[in-house]
Amino acid sequence: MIKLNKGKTIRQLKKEAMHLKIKGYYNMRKAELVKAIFDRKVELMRKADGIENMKMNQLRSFAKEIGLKVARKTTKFKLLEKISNIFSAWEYSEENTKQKKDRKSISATSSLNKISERKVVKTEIELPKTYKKDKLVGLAVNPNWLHFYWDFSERTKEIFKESLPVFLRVYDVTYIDFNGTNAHRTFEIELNPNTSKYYVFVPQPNADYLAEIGYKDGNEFVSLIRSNLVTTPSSSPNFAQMELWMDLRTRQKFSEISSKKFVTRIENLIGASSMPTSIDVISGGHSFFWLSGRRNV
Amino acid sequence: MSGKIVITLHAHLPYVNHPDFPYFMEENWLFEAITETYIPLLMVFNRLITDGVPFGVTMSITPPLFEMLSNQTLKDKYRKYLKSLIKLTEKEVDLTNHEEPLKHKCALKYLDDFQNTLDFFDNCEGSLISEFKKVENTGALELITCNATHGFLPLMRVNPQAVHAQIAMGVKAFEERFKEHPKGMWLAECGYYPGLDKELQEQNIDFFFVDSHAFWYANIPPRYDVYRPIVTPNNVFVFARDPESSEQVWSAQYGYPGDPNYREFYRDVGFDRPFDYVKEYMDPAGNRINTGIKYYSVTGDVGLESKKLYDPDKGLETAKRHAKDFVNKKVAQVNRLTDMMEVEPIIVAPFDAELYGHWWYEGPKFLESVFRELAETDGVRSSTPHEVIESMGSVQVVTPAMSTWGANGYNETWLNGNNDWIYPHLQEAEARMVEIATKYKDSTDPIYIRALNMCSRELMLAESSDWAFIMTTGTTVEYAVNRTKTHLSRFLELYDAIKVHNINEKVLEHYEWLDPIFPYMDYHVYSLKQ
Repeated sequence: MIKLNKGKTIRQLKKEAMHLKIKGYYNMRKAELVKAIFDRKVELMRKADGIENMKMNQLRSFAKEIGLKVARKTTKFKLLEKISNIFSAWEYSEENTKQKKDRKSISATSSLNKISERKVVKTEIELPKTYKKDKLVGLAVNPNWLHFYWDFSERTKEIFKESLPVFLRVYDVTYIDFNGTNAHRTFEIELNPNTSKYYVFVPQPNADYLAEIGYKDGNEFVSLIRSNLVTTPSSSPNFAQMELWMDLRTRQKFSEISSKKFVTRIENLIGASSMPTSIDVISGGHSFFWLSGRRNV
Repeated sequence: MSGKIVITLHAHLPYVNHPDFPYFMEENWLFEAITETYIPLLMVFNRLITDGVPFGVTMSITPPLFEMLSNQTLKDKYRKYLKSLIKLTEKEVDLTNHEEPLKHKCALKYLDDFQNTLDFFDNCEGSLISEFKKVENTGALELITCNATHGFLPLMRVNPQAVHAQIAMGVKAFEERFKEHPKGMWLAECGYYPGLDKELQEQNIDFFFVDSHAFWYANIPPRYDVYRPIVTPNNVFVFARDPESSEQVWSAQYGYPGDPNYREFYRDVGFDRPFDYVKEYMDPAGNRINTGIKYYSVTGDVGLESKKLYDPDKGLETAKRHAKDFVNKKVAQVNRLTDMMEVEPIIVAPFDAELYGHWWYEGPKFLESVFRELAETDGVRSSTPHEVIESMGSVQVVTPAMSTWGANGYNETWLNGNNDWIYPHLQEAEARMVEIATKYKDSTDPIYIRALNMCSRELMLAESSDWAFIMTTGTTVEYAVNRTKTHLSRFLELYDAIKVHNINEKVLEHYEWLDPIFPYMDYHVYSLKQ
C-alpha cells in the first residue's frame, strides 16, 4: 500500500509533485496534490512491473520519471536497488514487514511472485463499487432460480432514499408483449437497501421473465428501472404432434407426424421410504408444532 | 447391425502466461498437461496410424490452449521444466535402486517416458500444433475450435455483441494458427441457448455439441433421442452426449479410473520425499508441488498412507481390459438401439482431454486400446462428426433446450454466491467495449488500434469461464480472483485512456508483452454494424 501524504506541508507536497513530473501541480490545493501524488505513484509502480527485465536505457528513463538522479556509472543492480528503496519509502512502514517488502503487491500478477507471500498478500486491485448507471440485469441460474443485480445512477439513488422501501417485481411475461400490467403472474419482494443482488425462485421453467425495481406511492408501484428479458431453461420434455425434417440432398424441409417413440429412455426416479418433512413450510394446521420448532419467526 | 461412436476430446486450459516471472506455479498446468496428456495422445494417434489401425476421433483445442502452445516463451519454459524433471527422475532411478523393486521399475519407466517426451517435443521443434495437424491430414482426427477464451455464453447473452466476438474470434484464431477453417465448435462448458446457432451459422460452423438434456427438453422431442444428430432451424448440426458412455468413464462408483490397479494421483514424490531432496524441483517460494513421479496405486478405499505400490504392467493390463469392456458395452448398446431405430445409431462420447493422462494416468493407453478393439469389432466403428453428417440422408429439425454440461445441467456452477460479483463488472466492460469499438471503428491511428485490440484481449481473458469455475470449486481461488480483477482493471484503465485521448504507449506496450494472446486480434468483432 502506498501511504497518503496527508501529514506533509503544501510546500513539501509541491516539491514531491515536481519531482514526479505532475502536470499543473503548482495550482493544486493540498487535497488535490495528495491525490495526484498518490495516483502518480500507483501508475509508476504499475509500470515497474517486470522492471528486472528492462534494458539499462529503459531503466534510466524510468528512474528519471520517479525523480531519481542516476550517476553515469551506476550498475543495473544498484539502480534497481535504488528504485526499490524509493518504492519502499512510498509505502506504509507498518510492522508487517512481509507486506512492506512486497512492493509489487499493487499488481495482481506480481503479488503472485512469491507463493509463500501471496497467502498473506490480498489483491490490492479494487474494482469500482458502482458504475453510477441505472441497470437491472436478470440472469437464469437454472429452471427455477433467477439472479438479479442492479446499479443506480446518483439521481435514482436519491429518489430511492426519499421513498424507501424499495421493491423488486418479477413478471411472468411468457408470450406476452408486456405493457406493465398484462403479466401472467407478478411477484414482489422488498429489497434490503444494502444489497445490490438477489436470487429469486420462480415457479415456471421455460418461461420469460421481466423485472422492475421501484417504490410504492400509496397503492401504486412506481417502476424506475426495468430489466432485460430472462428466460428460464426448460426442464421437462415437450410434446409435439408434428416433426420437422430436412432432406439433406435437396435441402427441402418436410413435416411428419410424430407417431412413434423410437427410443425409450428410462429416467432416474428420486424416492425415499418416508416423505421428507420440512418445518419451514407453513401449513394450515399444526401451527403449534411448527411455530415452536421455528426460530426467528 | 452397425453404429458409430463419436469420441470427442475437449482440450482446454485457461491462458496462463507470466513472462515477467522466470517461474510461475500456475504455468505448470500447461506443462503437466503437455507431458501427461497432449504428447501421449499424439503418440497414441501416431502409433495407430503407423500400425494401420483405422480410427476416428474429434478434438476441440481451445484458442487459449493453442495460443499457449504457440508461445515461444512458454515453449522455452516447458523445455526447461521437462529437463529438470528428467534430472529429478534420474535421481529417483538411483535412489529407488535401494528401495522396493516396484518403485525402481516405475522410476525407470518414468525416465524412459520423459526422455521420449523430450525427444518428441524436440523432433517437432516444439510445435504440437503441427503434430495435431499431421494427424488430422490422415483423416483420422477432426480438429475443431472453441469460442475465443472459453467464455460462458449462456450468461453473456445479455450482450449479444460480446457473444458474437467470442464466436468470431474463436473461428479467426483457429484459422490463424491451423491455417484452415474449423468445421465445428465446442461451446465452452457445452453452454448453449436457443438462438446461439444463428451466430454459429454466420461464422460457417457446421456443427457443435450439447449435453443430453438439450435434446430431451427440446421444443420437439427428437425421434431418436440423443442417438442421431439433429439440425437447428439455422441449419447447424448438433450432437448430444450419450449419458451411458460418460457414466462408464466418469461415474465415481463404477467409472474405470477408480480401479485399484490404476496409479494414484495424490501420492507424488513432490510430497513424499524429504523436502531438501526435492527442493530444487519445487516452487522456489518453498511450496511442495506435484512432479508427476508417482509410485502408488489407487489400491481401494484406504487412506493415502496405506496405498500399495503401483505396478505399471498391471495398470496397462487393466486399461486393456477396461477398453475391451467399454467396446463390448458399446456393441451391446448399438444392438439394443438398432432394435428400436430403423437407422444407424450414433453414440456421442465427449470427455475432457486432460482426464486422459493427467488424472487417469492409463487413460491414453485405454483410448488406444479402445480404437484398436473397435477396428476389429463388427457393429461399432469410431467416427467423426463430419463423416456422420455426410452419411445422413435426412435429419430432424429441432431447437435444443438451453443447457450446459455443468453440475445439474444449467448455470449454477458459473453463477452462485462465490462468483456472482464478477458479472456486473464483466457485463459493464462488455458494454463499454462495444461502445468504444463502435465509436472508433474507422480509426486509422495505430496507437488507438493497438489500445482497442488490447482492450479486447483484456476483456476476453477476464471472460474465461475458468475463473468463475475455480471460484466455485475452491482451489487456487485467489489466482482466479486476481486474474479476473487484473484483466478488468487493465480494461478499465485502457478504456479511460482511450476516452480521454491519453493512451500511454509504455503501459500499452507492457500489457501487450504480458498477454500476447491473439496477436491478430481485431477489435472490430465488437463493433456494431450501423
